Amino acid sequence: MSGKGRLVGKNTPYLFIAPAFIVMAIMVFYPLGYGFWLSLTNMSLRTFKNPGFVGLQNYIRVFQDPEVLSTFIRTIIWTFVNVFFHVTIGLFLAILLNRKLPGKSILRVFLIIPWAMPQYIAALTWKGMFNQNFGAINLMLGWFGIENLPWLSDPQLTFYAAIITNIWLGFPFMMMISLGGLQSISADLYEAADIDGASPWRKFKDITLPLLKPTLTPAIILGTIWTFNMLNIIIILAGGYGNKETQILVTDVYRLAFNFYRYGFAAAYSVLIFAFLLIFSIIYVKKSNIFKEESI
Amino acid sequence: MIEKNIHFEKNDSWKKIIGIYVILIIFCAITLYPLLNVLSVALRPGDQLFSTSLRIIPADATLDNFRKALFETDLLIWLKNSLIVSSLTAIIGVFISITAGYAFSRFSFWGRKVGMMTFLVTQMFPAPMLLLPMFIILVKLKLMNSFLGLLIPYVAVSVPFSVWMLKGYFDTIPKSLEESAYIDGCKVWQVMYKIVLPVSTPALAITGLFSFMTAWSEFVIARIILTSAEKLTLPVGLVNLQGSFSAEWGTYSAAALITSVPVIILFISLSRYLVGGLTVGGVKE
Amino acid sequence: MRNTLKKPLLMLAAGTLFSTIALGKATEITLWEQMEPAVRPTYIKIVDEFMKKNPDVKVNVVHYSNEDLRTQFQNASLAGQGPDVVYGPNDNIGIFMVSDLIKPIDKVVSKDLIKKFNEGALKSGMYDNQLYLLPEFLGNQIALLYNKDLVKTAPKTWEEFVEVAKANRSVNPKDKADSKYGFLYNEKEPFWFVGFYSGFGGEIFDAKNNPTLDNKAMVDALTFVKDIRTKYELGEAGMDYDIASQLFKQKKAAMILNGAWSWKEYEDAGINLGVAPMPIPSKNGYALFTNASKGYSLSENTSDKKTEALNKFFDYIFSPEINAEISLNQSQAPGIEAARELPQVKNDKLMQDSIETIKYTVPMPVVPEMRAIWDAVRPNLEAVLNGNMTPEDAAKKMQKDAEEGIKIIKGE
Repeated sequence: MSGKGRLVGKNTPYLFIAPAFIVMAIMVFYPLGYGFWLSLTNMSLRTFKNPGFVGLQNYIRVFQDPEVLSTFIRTIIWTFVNVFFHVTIGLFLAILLNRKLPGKSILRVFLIIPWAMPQYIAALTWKGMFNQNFGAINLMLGWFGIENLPWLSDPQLTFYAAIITNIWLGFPFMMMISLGGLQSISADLYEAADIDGASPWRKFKDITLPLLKPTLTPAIILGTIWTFNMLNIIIILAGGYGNKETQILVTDVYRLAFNFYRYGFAAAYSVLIFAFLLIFSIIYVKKSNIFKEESI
Repeated sequence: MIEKNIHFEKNDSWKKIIGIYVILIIFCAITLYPLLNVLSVALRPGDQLFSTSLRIIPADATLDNFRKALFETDLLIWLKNSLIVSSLTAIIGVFISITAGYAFSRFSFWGRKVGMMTFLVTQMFPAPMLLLPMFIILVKLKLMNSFLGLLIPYVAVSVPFSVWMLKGYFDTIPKSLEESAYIDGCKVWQVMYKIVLPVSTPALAITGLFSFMTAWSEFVIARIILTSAEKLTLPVGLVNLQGSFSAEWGTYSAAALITSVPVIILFISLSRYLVGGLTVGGVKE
Repeated sequence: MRNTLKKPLLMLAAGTLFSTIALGKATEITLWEQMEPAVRPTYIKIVDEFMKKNPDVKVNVVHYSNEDLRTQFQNASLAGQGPDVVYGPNDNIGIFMVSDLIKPIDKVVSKDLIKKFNEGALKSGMYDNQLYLLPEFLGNQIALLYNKDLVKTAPKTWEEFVEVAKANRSVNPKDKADSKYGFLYNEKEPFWFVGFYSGFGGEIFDAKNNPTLDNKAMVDALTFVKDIRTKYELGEAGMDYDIASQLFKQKKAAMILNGAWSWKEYEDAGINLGVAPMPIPSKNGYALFTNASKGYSLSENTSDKKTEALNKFFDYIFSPEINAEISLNQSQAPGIEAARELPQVKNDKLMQDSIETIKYTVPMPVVPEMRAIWDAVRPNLEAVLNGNMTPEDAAKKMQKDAEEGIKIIKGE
């Protein structure tokens, strides 16, 4: 589309982006730079006020840490399972809600409640529900003959409990995104497909998914990044940082920085997390083709 | 007899309709149950977070905790503060994201891809490590203990998602309408506000809600920036209600429930726009 | 909108400035505190009274909850900001002192004031033989709490204890909420567990602050907590703070273990509360829980010009009456010796319980390395309780984890 070029000044795009960019610059770029700098120092409790430069030593330490690999794998599982269920449940419910259905507006309000509830109190409530002898989960499982799972004292089960809690917290957001995205798909497309006798699955695969992609892709990328760096839920359910078998990378960062005061080391950890997420995003963005410029 | 074709999709069988309701109701039960749990704590006299029975309305139910939450704590002040900060975050955040999102969607310019990635990049660094430098900046800008000091980081946190989301949504809007407007001699911003935005209400509603919620539930930044009691926002106030070990769970739960009310009202009023949008405009390619 | 707000605020600020200058310059002290919500209203009232009596000193009190105070103080100090005085738990002083955030307080306050403190309380504020904290109270100790309607007198020995606990126990395996428990406690929290460890003769650190967790006392203590559940059939799987507390309030638990901060809460809930030391089958016969204090430390950034104002404030806040009033609110033993002799303290049952059970405690180590101990104890204690580890293996693992954690803290 060359015609518009004439009407739009050369600087217009930059002017349009400037306000958002300036806010980001104030709040994020300096802190990012600070984080990188910190990762090259030995800032810790004893060198809190005058940290020294240690080069890449912190990075070497991270790679020497025997636990890093298993924590990394756990983080991947955590992220993948969460995002997968956020998106599938959210999309599924959005499709059900995106049709003529009396009473759907009230159902929609009920379904968004996990997003509206303060996260902290939601996590504490789930913690109560997971209690071994007094929680609702085991009581309900009891009806199906499953006896008394030690959700919060077995590290593996605690990790599952955290995943369940976080899925509950996260799917309404994806549902909303999907609902909004579905609005942009014209009903005519489905009608045309109906005339061609397409199956529901084909309609989903060939119309719904491709047309949802522009709205869903940013949500999935950011959802992945947020989940990867999600701190609170695991800490609240596990009651702290003690048990390594429930930790993910970012909880480890937090423990190193705020319990063990190893700011430099924690910063190096953070930079590596950052690098990993950056590579992931670049690949995902490339694969999903959302930069395709054929429409411009 | 209900006229099926008026109330439901015309191709759906009764069996399918019932199935859909069953599924939705099951999911509603899952989303509602923890909330009801909080409700039952709030209704119980004394301070007990965990109910040891599955019963929702306790036999000795009382509204005393709601009274305490409303009148014996600063909840109303926190509510007011949170409403101010969250609304401003949503308005400013969405406004500056619209222009950025539109530029990324419609213009081709040098640095476009890198620019978009930059917005993503800001989300990747683990937040705990950003707190200290953020604190230092705000001290230098003399923005500690001010709403403006909260607003800037909140907008910064919500903008990347909003920009990407709006860019994605604008991409799905056919360009044909804008073409004719340009030919009629409209300026860029006129095209954007008169033609693109009216058909983008679902995305605007979502980004607005998202920005609002980001500020509404944010807690970590707020507690380092706000120091005086009359400026606290809801999440900080709520957590301050708790002591280190003992807590007034009843009051706390009642307060948490009251907190959810504005969000639900906001959601209900926005959902009109969520189901509006393109289909109303009747734009298609 | 901000501008319209700003103007009156500026005028207000200017107004207060002028009025204070007119009154003779007021020294402003900024105090960051981490107080229990129950204590704060009384405290604010006391500070206001102080300011009325001393118009030349302005105390600016800022509240932080829990861990926030520590992190925030560290952040602020790096940015060259922050308070003059921090009020918090004494286990912060190790961290603050090592990273040069606080300075010895005895250089500022008078020797006369220091002499007035209870000796044990004063010790809790020392690090490397220097005084860094003026203790408001000494306490936070855990003790055995019993419901006098169910348990007539406190058991003196472990055998008596088991007998009483079993007599009060009738657990319905189908509905644990509708059961009666003889004895419950927060099994997962190392803070509770270390009381047993000390009771069996264990010490957390040696003289050089190296951890000493792999020993007979640890094996005994771990075996004991396991036996409570399996051999004596007391306690309950997955028991945590809130549920134990709740069942005690509902009179479904006859005895629990909880700290001094909570006792008043149970009395207010209508429990006929008894407080006693916890008997265990060890040589000395009782568990030795840790005691800790809360109090005031001086920021490294405080100007010397504020010495006079600070002294005025501390002299006021540590007068026996005021010290008693603040301590009474949380039933903790007052830091000032004379406050313990006042009638309002003498006649307060919980205060007397508090002063009495302090005898069955050991001081909480204030070195920053303590963090590594908590993190080392928790998962391994849990593994023993779940039957996934023997006490012997767990003791070894705790020692190893603690050593590694300390290495990380020290930056080695």
